[in-house]
Amino acid sequence: MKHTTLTSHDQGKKSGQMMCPNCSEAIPVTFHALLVEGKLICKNPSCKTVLQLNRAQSQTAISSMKKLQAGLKEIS
Amino acid sequence: MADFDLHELLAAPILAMNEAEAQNSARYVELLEEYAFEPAKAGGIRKLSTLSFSYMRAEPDGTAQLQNVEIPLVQFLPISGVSIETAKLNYALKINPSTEKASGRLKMLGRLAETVESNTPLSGNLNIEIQLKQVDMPQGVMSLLQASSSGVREVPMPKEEPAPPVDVPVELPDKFIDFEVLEKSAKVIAPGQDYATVIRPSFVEGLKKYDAKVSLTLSSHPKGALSFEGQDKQVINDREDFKIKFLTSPRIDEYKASTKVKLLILVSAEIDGKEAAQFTHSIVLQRRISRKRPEKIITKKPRKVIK
Ligand SMILES: [Zn+2]
Repeated sequence: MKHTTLTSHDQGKKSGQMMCPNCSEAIPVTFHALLVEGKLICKNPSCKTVLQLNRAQSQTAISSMKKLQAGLKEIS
Repeated sequence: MADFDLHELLAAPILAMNEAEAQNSARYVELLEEYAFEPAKAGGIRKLSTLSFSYMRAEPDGTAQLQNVEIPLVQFLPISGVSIETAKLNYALKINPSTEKASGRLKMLGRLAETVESNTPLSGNLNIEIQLKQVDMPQGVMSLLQASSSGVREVPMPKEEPAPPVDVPVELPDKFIDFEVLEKSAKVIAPGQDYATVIRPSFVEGLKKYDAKVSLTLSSHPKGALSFEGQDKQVINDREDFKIKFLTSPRIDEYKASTKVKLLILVSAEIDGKEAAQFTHSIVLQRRISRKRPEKIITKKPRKVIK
């Protein structure tokens, strides 16, 4: 499955990265991870921190992401 | 075809490109407004929309602690812009030097050369070649991102309330300890005998938030009905069983039937070395009511002795 990456570090920008709070490695952020799985996992094998999304406290942001995802699907 | 002021003719495509870029930027701001912020509330202040996560934070001592973190959504948004990197403008123009003078300079009039089938060098039109490039976000957005990344908030998980400072008035419930009687050495008390009972104190929530020293002082009702081993204040702890030993007075049989013998426990709480609160808990001790009437009632008027 192809996941749209939300972070934009591949475009050479300094910002827009999700850093692991434990090891500071960049964590790939996808719509799928946030909207379906509801968690982000640090890929650093010696860290593997799991950031569990608290849906109740993130409602506005989640609905924004859903809107954005629908919009991006329309374009592509 | 009409003739144009050469100045206008050259400027028009550049202006058009500038306008396109401005529109692009405006759309960019619209997108940010739409996705990155919470809806506006009274006062017009808009908060960045955030995602909240929980994770186990690795502590320096090797332990892990549950932690909340709030990350502004703008950190994740794949909104970025493009702008014109290079633009090549090729004009093939026919120039008519005009005699009109506008604002002191000679006005040049020109027209785009008509495209001729033969494709001679003179034939042509306006050719614009534009190369776009991915741009860095506008400085304002970069600053917003910078601010929002420093705005990644670690939200500590709620912990047990810390002990209030000394100057906060201590508010304890009237009865800040409950007692459960676990054992009694006998169901009823009899005069002149040793008894023991085990009680389990449990501190109520209102007391637990203070670092209180709780002590008991034992006495009885009526006074002197019971005598205790160790008369002084005795410190007790939450849910730590406590044994009370006492000796009953030989006189308890002399009390009226309606008199209840009680074990009185004066509970006092000391917080920061100061007496904070007290209350008395009483435990009624069942006694065997003698069928024999108390002496004073037994005393009869001396009979008249008739000699
Ligand atoms: Zn990590």
